[in-house]
Amino acid sequence: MATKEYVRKDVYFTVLPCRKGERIYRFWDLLAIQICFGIGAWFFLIGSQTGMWLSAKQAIPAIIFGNCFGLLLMGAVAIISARYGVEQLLGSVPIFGPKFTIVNVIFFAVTWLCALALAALMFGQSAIKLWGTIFNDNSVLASAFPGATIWAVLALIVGFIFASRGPDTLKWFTRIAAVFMIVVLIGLILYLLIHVGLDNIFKAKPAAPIVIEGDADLSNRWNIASSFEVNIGLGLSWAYFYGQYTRLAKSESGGFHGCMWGWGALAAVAGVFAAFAALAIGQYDPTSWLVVMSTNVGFPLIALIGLILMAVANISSISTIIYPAAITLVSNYPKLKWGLALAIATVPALILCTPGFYGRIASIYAIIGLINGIYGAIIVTDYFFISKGVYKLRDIFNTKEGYQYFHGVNPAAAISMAFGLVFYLIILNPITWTSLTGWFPYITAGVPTVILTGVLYYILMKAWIVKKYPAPIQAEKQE
Amino acid sequence: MVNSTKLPVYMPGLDAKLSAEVEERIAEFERDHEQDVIHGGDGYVERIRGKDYAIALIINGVLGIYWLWSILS
Repeated sequence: MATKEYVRKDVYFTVLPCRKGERIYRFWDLLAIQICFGIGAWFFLIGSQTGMWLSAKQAIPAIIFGNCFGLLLMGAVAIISARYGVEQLLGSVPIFGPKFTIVNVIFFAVTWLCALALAALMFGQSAIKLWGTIFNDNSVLASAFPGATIWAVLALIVGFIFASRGPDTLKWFTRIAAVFMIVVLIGLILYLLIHVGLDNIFKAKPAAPIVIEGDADLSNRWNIASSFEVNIGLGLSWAYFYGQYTRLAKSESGGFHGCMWGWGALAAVAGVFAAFAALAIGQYDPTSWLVVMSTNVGFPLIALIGLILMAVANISSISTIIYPAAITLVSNYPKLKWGLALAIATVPALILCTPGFYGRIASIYAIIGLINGIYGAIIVTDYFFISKGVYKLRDIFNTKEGYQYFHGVNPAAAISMAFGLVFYLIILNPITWTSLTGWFPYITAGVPTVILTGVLYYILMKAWIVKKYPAPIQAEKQE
Repeated sequence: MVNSTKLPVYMPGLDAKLSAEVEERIAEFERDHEQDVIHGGDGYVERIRGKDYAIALIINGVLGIYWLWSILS
């Protein structure tokens, strides 16, 4: 019994394929986890950015549809790990080849470190305001710098502790946190609509729209396309995060729907709230709205509840980011001990915890959406049109001889990824937010990139790779 | 790629105990689930159904129409 329990615990912290009896996440558990993961800095800041660009009428569907559609495009990524019980990047080995894993780890690291830094910084912003509201002082702990950074580091430490306890602890923690956050968010939206007025919110002009001098129509296109781009970028940005949780799902369907709706429509409530707040006060940082609103009405409890929400939201997000990052590291580099993997997953985020990083949400999520989108496009295309989700588990666990393709790399996946990167960048430069070709805002960048990357991968696989390097199960059938 | 039926577990850094446990689980998967997966059945857990994709497509379709309406009206 003791040995069984030991192995059961090992499954949560090592590379072992997870059997049915060891799985702990039903649909509702995954929904709660992904709500906690999803409701964090990214949704508040992207929702707020959308409210700075668009009116409420256009912002609400841009946030909800943008995120849900991005997740629809990536949805099948959830299934592979649920089917074979393996971690996400290990489950990608049959598609990319074992030697390409390092590229995916680097892309994933960029994703999780940016997300960690944003969540920690938003916790910092909430904490300094909360501190100032409660204690009414201007000490270091209420200062933008170094106060917010000190709180951000504290958030990373707390998140680290929760994540280190593993998926069982996260399940119970997120069940409580998800309900709390959804209830408070709906309450705050209702409060905002009643206090500011539904009409005023819907009549409010966005505070900082993109303006192309002398061309109102083009300006309008830029605002619509940019809003869609950052929201779809957020929807696509989960591609590297599925399998670390869905390998513990009790059914493929639970994994698929739990991720799609937890990260999508339900977490998007936070984005809608932030857009409303931005429209109400014309400020980008949603934590400011809470303080401004409570000052205006002389009711500090609103600020207190809202800022506690921000704190819970970002700490739960930090925990739910660190666990998948660490399990990916120990699964692909089994020599790493759990504690060291947790440290590698967390500590580098400190470098990004600077005030300037907090204000660059559109660029950050365009880049993250890009690298996740092209990765996901290849996985989904392979799943539906090439392998049909049939892989050889034994070959995944032999990095020397299994799924070798060309020197351990699938050229079709590598070429398609490179193409996707270049194609996106010629449509939209996410740093300068300009278009080299002028195609943006007439088309967006993320969706065409995902589709064309998938199409190129399909053509290369059918015309070249499948013939030259038949997959192991295919080869067995032919013999 | 080579015929992999007898490929041993090989991952740099994997210790002997964990390697043996992985081998046991792979053998168990091959015995209990692999043929089912190849023929469209369940793997370790119940397989996703067509209706799951349909639900996702329908909801996204409705949201897409809502988004188009908001920018065109």
